[in-house]
Amino acid sequence: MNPFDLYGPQFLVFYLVFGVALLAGLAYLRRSNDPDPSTPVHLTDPYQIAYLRGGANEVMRLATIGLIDRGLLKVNGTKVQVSDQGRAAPVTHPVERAILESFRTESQATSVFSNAALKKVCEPYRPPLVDLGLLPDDAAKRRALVYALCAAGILLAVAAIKIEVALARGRSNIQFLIILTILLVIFALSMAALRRTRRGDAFLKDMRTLLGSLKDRSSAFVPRSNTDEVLLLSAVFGVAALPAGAYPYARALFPKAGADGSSCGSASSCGSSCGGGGCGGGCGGCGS
Amino acid sequence: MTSPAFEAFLARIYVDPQARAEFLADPRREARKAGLSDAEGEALAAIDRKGLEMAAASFKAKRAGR
Amino acid sequence: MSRDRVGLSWRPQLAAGILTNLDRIDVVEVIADDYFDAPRSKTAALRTLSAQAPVVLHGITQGLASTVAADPKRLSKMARLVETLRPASWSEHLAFVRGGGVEIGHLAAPPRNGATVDGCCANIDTARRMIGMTPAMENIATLIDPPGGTLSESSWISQIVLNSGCDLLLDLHNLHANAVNFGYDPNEFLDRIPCSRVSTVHLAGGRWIGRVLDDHLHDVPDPVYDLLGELAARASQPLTVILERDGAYPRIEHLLAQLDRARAALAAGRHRRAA
Repeated sequence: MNPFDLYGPQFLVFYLVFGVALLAGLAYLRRSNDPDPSTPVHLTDPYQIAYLRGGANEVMRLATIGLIDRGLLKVNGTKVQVSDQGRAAPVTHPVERAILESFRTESQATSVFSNAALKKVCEPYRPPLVDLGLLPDDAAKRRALVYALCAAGILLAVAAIKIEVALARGRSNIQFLIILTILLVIFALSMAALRRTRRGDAFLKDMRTLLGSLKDRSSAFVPRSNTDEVLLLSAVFGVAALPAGAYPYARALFPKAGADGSSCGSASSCGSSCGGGGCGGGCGGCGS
Repeated sequence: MTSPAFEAFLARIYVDPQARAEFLADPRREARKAGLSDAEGEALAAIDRKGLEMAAASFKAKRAGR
Repeated sequence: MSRDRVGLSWRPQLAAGILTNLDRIDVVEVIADDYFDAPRSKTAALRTLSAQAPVVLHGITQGLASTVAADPKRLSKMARLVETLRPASWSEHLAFVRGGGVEIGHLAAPPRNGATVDGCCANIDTARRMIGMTPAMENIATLIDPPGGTLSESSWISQIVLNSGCDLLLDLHNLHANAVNFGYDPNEFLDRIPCSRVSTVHLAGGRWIGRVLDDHLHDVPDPVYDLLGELAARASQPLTVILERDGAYPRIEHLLAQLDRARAALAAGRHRRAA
């Protein structure tokens, strides 16, 4: 049975099934060479985790929020500026230094994203993450691009052949096929970019599980008292997940920042009738 | 020496207020009813009563998840 | 392992503080039972935690110190977790937790006599065979002087340790609480137990309710640090010391300061031993 002989609606169903199967194969292939996602990874640097989650932009968001919490930057609506040049001078962390430099004069917080020099300062975070198997190397990214282009090409070719056959037989109702082709090709091309490996996704998921729900602990956040913890939580969940009461500037400064699973997971439960200490584990005193 | 039945008896009076009250009213009778030996009955009769009430309250709180 | 290690019990409320201060935390203790029936995602996260810091497992529901045989289903769950995580050690309590189908809800001191020594040793042996690793066994605090005993607490614990070959997880606040509650000298207790078999130490705090309650909600009191120094002076082997906190969480800095104080107590004890 030649599929190109199928009538309009029947061919659309065939094409849809064919397209979905092709995309499923593409999804599998683009990560088939990924490092084993179950291999645990040692990584606790919040800036590295932020880069893993959202690249240079996420590192810059994190550094900005951290410097505000430490009192080195001050906020004026959606703008940021160094609060005290004297206190800022001893900062040695390269990203933090660069962020402080960029806010020497009052500027929009989002101006960091168009600062090429700042992005360059963040790039050293990438190679170690590639070495850990959390980010794809250049070969993997090239493969993903080639696979996606091939998939898109196949989809276009099949659609083109059918359109030619249809037109040759005097049929002109091809608009649904064109729409479906466009959608499937867009989907295929969207898979050309490989942001993280499966191991990278698994690591972030595990960190979200370990750190639990930010919402459950919003009362524990006291500005300017535990910046390191704020940085780690922001790196894993995103600055937008910080409690608005304690960090009202986070969302105002970076309105497009996403939050990843800020309510995902719950504190571990004792899981047994004999687990004292309530949810959160612990034997609550190992004795009566 | 004590038996699994002795531990079962302790578990019951730790957890069940009614069983604990009946036990405290007549420890030897309750021990006999539970099939415990005379020696076990005597050991229970000498139980640390203050500790028993405190422990029962603590176990109740733990079961409630506090 | 050639040196003492000092760490914290893992609690989600402390997770961020722990992960951002691993330079001051040598080891993390996880409550194993929290993961027995957990979804795979939670166990996977635990493996990631074990890549950040050494993890040891601590069980609370096996009830091994009993004349009743240990439950193979519960032991299987521990075995699966140990197999997944490959921790350096796991531990449980010298307690019973159920009897006659009744769940007590927490750790209860069994009668301290020959029958429970034999029962506990048999259960430890079963656990060793099923899990492939002998647990360290922890002394528990008790508000009631358990009836039916013929042995002192130190004799009972010593017989279990020596007959089963297990190590001892010595909870010094439990020792302190029992010593206060039942009127004995904790230093004499240390003299009577095989301190050479102590592998792990727990530190915790409690409150007075007419007797000392080991509630894990308060700071470690001074006498417990003193006991840590005494233990370090008696034991030549490296010790893993875990600070337990189950609620009323202070800032992480406050807990880290208690770890530092534990290190100082260990050092002072080691120094006395060397002198």
